[in-house]
Amino acid sequence: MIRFVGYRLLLAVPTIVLVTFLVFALMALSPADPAVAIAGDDATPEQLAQVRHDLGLDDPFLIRYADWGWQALQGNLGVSPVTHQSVLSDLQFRLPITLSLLLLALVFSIVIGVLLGTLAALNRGGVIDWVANGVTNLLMAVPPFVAATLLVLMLAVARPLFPATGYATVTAGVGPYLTYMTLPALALAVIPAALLMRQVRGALIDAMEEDYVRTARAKGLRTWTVVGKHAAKNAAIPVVTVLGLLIAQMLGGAVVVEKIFAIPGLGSASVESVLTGDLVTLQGLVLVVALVVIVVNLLVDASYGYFNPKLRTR
Amino acid sequence: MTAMTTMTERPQRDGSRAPSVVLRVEDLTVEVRTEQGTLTLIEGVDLTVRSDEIVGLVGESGSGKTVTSLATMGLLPRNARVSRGRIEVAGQEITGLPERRLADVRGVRAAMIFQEPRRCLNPAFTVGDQVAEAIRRHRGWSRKRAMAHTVDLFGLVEIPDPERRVRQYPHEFSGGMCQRVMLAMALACDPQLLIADEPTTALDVTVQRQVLELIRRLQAELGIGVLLITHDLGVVAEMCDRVSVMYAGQVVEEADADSLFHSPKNPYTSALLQSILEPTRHGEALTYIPGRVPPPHLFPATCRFQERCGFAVDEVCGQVVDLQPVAAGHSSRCARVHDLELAGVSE
Repeated sequence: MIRFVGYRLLLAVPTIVLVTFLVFALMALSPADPAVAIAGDDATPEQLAQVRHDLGLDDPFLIRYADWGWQALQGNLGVSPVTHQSVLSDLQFRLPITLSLLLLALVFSIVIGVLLGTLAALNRGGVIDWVANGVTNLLMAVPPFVAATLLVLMLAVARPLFPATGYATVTAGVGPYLTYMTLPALALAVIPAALLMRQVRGALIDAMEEDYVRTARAKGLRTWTVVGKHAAKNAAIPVVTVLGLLIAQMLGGAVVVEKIFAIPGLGSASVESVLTGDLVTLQGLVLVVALVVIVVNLLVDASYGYFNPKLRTR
Repeated sequence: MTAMTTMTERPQRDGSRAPSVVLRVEDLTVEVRTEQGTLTLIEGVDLTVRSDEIVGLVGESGSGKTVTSLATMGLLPRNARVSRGRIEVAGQEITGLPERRLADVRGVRAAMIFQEPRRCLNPAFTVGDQVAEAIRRHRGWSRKRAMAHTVDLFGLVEIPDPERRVRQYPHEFSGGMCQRVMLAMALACDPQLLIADEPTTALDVTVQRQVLELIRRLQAELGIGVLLITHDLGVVAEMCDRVSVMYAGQVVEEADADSLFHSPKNPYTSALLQSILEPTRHGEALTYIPGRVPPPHLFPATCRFQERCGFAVDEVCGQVVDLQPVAAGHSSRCARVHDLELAGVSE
């Protein structure tokens, strides 16, 4: 297991290098000029050249990337030319907020998706299955920004049950956390919950038709044990795979949702840094998001060994 | 050694007790709902298994053997139901029982093993856990005690090195060993009836023999009735005391094994016996039954074997035939049963 994790972490290194390099290259090619952003539109060419020189922007591209990478390795992600703040401390402030949002969204999608998916699978062809399928079909067509707006209108404006904006992290305590994060997390969870329900339903139906489920019933196990133990552990693999992809997708959804609910997380930061041409912050953001996705994938892969013992021997 | 210690813990159900009826199936009829409407899969099946015998249930694919056995365990698929008749397992009527009550009967009064043992074990749990959970469920024993009993059961079914093997996963077992695990699981709560549905069909020939030997030994030692479902008459000849032959959802002949093999009273049985491959008949033309078992929606109302039967005579055979006794303990479903001399196995 330790060897497996070590090996996977080693594999993650080229991934991170590639991702950050690509983003670095894209930004080098983009017309956005941080020097203009800093010096202002009416700066003289000399002033611009001076700013470029100060930022190291007149160095060759590869040197600039190597320099950034070397600094990043030492924990220095640079200083934002826009806010003049350390990018690292900015990210340290924002990451827990976004992770708190993702966590609650994940809990919502899993609870809703697994519950509906299981009910639908066990009542295949029945009324519950039919209704659950219809509801998820509908939900899959609701993007986060629509869901967010509707939720705010219904549960914050029409009936002020939740605040329309603001945030709280997990560490703020359960009460404030749920008060502030429920609406944005729900908005973020709509599509993942629907996709997860589909996946759970399909995987469980497949598993329930396996011979070992018949064996489990033949030895007189209760229906709950047959489904919750024997079928579930085998159905988990495709579900966890999709879950990993959904977390990455939710990170993307967080950009919009954080903006709508005025949550100062990674999503808001990426919008702001793009709008202000703050390439240093953006590069730091990309690094953090890449790391989160890599960790999620690692956890997903590690879980396969738990769900399928056959994979452990390798 | 392990087997012996297990034996002393078990209730004594060997020769010292009078044999009892452990399975009584009467007039069993199973229907299935399909897109073509409701089909009758098996009709009017009677079966009896006593605690001192192995009863064979024989027939080609599609004859209704497996449906009969699944109905007996209350394991019919959701779209199928027992529409008539009754099933009594070890004195308990199980037809019409709700799922919860059925689950209390399964594994305790009757247990079942299947074809393809590797697919019947859950790949995600250790084999020991899968046997022990049956004990924990029905006896409420602790995890530790159930696992200790599982080790004993592994000894009983002759799995070498049981202490180590219980902690392994199914993929670390061969097919034959998986079937032994299935047997250990089946015997975990001392059932009185064991249903074995083609238990050796998916196994190598040499392994087949070992598993069959084991089933026979366990039957005699533990005094459990065995219903052995197979399409292999060679297996029947070696294992069974009595035999029921099924064709197209009906029992067409029932007899003790000797009578059935040497003086069959139904043309279908006779034809089956003629199609056994025998090494001594090398060089002769292969005999077989032309055609195949009709699907349930094409079951004729009259004799279901007539169109494939070499002895069919239109004037006599175009009518409904019942299973009728022809000798003590011997019945056949054939309109010409009294005027036919049918060939059995060659000596």
